[in-house]
Amino acid sequence: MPHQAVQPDSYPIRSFHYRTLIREGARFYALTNAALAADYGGDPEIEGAQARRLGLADLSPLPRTGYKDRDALRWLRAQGLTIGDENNRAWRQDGSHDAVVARLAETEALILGDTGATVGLCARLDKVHAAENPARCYHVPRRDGSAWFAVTGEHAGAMFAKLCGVDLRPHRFPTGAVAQTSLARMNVVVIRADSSETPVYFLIFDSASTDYLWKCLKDAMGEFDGAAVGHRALVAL
Amino acid sequence: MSIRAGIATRDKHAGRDMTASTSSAANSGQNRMAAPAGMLIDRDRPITFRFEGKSYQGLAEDTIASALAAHDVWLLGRSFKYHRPRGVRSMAGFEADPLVQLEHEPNVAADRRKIEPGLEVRGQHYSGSLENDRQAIIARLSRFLPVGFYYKAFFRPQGVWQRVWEPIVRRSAGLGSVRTDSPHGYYDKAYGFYDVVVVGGGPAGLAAAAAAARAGAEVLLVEQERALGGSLNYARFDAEGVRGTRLRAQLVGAVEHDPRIEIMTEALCNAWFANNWLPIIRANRLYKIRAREVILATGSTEQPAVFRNNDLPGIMLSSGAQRLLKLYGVRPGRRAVVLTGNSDGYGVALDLAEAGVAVASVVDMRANPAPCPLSMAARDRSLAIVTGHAVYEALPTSRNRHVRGVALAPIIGQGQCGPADHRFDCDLVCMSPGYTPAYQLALQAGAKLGYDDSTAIFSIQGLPAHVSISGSVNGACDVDAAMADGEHAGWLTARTLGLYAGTEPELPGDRGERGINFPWPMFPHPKGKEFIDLDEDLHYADIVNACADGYAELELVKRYSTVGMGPSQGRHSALATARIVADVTRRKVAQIGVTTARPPLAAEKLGVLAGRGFEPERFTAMHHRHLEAGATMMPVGLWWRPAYYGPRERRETCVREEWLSIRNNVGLIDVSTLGGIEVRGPDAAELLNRMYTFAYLKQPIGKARYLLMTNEAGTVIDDGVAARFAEHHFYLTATTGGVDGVYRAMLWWNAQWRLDVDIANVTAAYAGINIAGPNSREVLTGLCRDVDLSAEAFPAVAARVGTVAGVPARIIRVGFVGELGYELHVPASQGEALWDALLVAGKAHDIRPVGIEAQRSLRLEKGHIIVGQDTDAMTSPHECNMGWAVKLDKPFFVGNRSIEIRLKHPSRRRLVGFEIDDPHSPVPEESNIVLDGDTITGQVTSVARSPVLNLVIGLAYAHPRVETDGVIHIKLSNGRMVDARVVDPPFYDPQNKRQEM
Repeated sequence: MPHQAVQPDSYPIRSFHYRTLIREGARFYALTNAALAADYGGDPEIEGAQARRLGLADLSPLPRTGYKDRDALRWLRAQGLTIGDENNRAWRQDGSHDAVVARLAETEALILGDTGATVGLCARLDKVHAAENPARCYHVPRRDGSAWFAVTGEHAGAMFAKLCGVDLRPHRFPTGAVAQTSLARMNVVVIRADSSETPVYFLIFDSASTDYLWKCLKDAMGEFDGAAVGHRALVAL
Repeated sequence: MSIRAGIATRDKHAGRDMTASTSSAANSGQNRMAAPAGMLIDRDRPITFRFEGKSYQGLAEDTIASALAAHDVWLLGRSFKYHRPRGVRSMAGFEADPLVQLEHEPNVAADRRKIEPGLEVRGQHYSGSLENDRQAIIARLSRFLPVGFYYKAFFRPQGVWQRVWEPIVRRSAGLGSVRTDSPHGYYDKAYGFYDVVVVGGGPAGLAAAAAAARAGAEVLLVEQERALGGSLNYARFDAEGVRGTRLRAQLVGAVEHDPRIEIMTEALCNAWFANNWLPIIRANRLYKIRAREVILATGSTEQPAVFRNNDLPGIMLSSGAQRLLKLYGVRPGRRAVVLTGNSDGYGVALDLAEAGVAVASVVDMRANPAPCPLSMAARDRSLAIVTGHAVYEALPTSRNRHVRGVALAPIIGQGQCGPADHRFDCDLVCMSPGYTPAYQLALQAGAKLGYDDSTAIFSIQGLPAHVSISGSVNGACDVDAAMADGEHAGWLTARTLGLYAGTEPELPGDRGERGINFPWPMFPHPKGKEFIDLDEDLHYADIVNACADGYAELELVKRYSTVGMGPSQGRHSALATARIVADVTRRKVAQIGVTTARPPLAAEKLGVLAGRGFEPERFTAMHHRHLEAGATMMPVGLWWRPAYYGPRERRETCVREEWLSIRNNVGLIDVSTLGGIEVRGPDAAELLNRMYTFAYLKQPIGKARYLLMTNEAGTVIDDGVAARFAEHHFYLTATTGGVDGVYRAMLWWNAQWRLDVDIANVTAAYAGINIAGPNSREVLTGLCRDVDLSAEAFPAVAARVGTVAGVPARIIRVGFVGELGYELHVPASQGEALWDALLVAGKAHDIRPVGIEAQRSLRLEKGHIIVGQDTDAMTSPHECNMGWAVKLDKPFFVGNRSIEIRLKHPSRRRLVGFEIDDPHSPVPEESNIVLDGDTITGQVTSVARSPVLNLVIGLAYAHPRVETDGVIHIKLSNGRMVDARVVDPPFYDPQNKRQEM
């Protein structure tokens, strides 16, 4: 991942709340057409420890997409995706680093691009879909309609208990589990997506409420000394 | 018996600090015992606080009551009705008497709240001073205040209540005062999930938690006191007085070292709700707990005896005295009489004697009590014991400030005493007549109370599945029985969860319930004041008279007398009341029972219930650009939208300028909130045809069409625009507040119709920008190279897909504001970039952002309705001149049948346009009524003074017979009438030439 100081508003695609991240000290690096909060300017070791304790990262500039209707899963499998038979489960995709596919229903899947943003799985799927226009398999504009946060660390489960009525403690909500639930009175898809021993939870939710949910999470995290972390700390987990 | 000097001194200085050296940092009161007494207090941290304007020094972890008791201050409050002096009784926060007022908080339990440096405490419910309450004179009028007197008084002659009594009663009613300027606290909530929740950290609860955890359960142990242990922390179980400490160490150690047990102390389980949902309050947080299994080890509540003046300060439950001794290291008095009906009283007497309190006598109500180790130890210590007697009357100091002695009488029958034959001077009376199980949570869970006449004790039966009880609440009154009962409950619960729990532990044989309760510890006195319910100032005769007045059922007795309705919620009165009602009505106590136990168990703050407020908000992609441009924002549902661009004091000017910029030049309006729904699939057009009133099957690709939605009653509920981008693809807009309802309605209807269509709410996915005004095409052309924007290629209500400033866009020509204009719908992540590009491209034309107030006025000039403003819950399409958008010849649309029926019954109103061309005329406001003579025929729905037309224009409902060029009469908010001329909208550009250019 290239590291150079960038300004989010110099890109046409902008995180929904980049101003908040700037105010909190975020430094950004460039993706293809957007800027991603890389870190918060401090010692990487400290930020890494923060992520292991309790961290909040904005991954909204990263690619994601979705498809729905009765033939969506069949079409996605035909594109080489691994999707099991159980609803409310997620699977990492072989050969796509840590891209994750979450099966939300028999007729809908959410695809989160790898957090390294290197593979282009979402772009490939969208391009093929636009060309093929398969019947009964409709694109869902997750890139713009949904925001994407990651909550990491050993205190994540206890923090979520202040916001969500589903038991998200690590031993009750293992890697690969998906919950479509209410969090701080918002509809949120929660996906447990560890890549190491540190619990990692992806939150997918209404992009128009990005600022609001960021504030709620920061408030809930305060009790556990949680803080914002950048993408760099997340991939280092 | 002579009166000791100390007691005489108390009489003179009752309630006053008697310590010679309160100013000494080391002195926390003359009643304070030497270390190591006082399990909870920290002797290294003195704390100064104030009560009733005087300073006192306590120790860290003292409660207000214990710190004051150390200084011989016993008067804490005044009783509810008679304003009698009151003090501590249980030292467990169970009653109203020790409720005190803090600076920002009323009704604080002084026997539970810890002191803090600088704490200001005052008593409650008095006039003048706590020591000399002027309202104490009411007690002399008690004969005129019998039970239920307020149902028989205060209302004759007619009007006297409102004129005389109500102001008096309101002033004196209630407890404590609230300050409206108190700072806000931070409250929040958290969820919790456990296999087993054990409520109560006494011997049974500790054993149950340990047993369940050993088997592998995740356990939450909830204890409302500061320390685990329950009665192990203060009661005496053996002659030597060491067993409690040893057991506590053993049981608490096991629990604290088990990682599967989470412990919450100072946490109150305040209710039981269905499926084991438990609210647990700890400080400012409400825990919402889900438990697979619940074990209620809530213990039992010691009961008071009933005799004349049993409410005086200095008369307390034995357990209250033991709490003072053991937890806070405070002697509860200097000379004590212990009234008992079981062996526990002897333990109290031993504790008092060892603490240096002179025990004048143990008064055992039992005529021939069987010896027990505690009574034998008392005899060995030469404590005086009187059997077969009761305290018949407590003797007060002047003005009832404190107890100074007791008169004993022999018990000659149930509740009957012979002449008093003993008298003891004392300043402390401890009562141990028996216990009631703490049944409240169990009864909330659906259990019922039974009563065994032979043991004179309540029992709990009929618990629902996944809830159990253990310990003294389950009748296991002996400490060994309680522990065994707890261990068994934990084992059984673990097994129910499917966890391996080993061999079943033995249930206790002798549970110790026999002999624990004296069957009738109530001795009515001819002069009364034998209080059954101290919270409500009810004596024995009040309950008897309630029955005599005809209220013989317990629920009626409660409501008529208010027994059990105070803060103690019957903890100390329910058993006595049940016994009296049973006796008077010649029934068994089991038939009487207790009144319904409802949540909450104890008082809970509104802040705890409210918690941290979550109020979602939604911002469009251009939100921050609006703020940067100085917009005054307004909430529209969850969204924030720019009302106008400027400060409030310049509102009219800003709106006018924005209005004119659209009419004369070019402006940008953020329309992102106006909903976005994708309808895709072979049946997409059919879905629209059924959901909306207009026709869509033949809508050409590349065209937009108006959408009008009615509900099944034929009432207008939403409108918007449908752009057809492909044979099987429509993109719809809706109103800001209506889009979620429209989406839901489509899903609901299609669940029945099963059309081959996909419906997706994509409102947040698209940013919408309306660029409008005569120069809009010119500005847009500079940024859009792949779509021909000319009038011929892109006529009105056309829809195209292209790119604008490099951003993929859906472009729809719409005319809501009545000028040439385009709605650009782009991916939300690129909305801000597009907005910026449009402002740059339009700079030469002085392009400006336009808020929704100007937008609403612009559409008014065209006569366009706003659903929800110009329509209400009854408006049909024809009433609001939208009949043109209704195709009744379609096979079906939602509401068509109702519209047909409604058309057969002419409406009593229709929406008309009106103008007022007098420049000096006042401008009507929305909702001003329209009158026809004295008859209200409608109201104004929209109105504005148009800077373009130099007129006041508006829409209003009026009688259908009102004709164009006729007049409607509008009543203004100030009562004046103004006439307006009826016109057919649009007011502006009636030929639509400007929007179709």
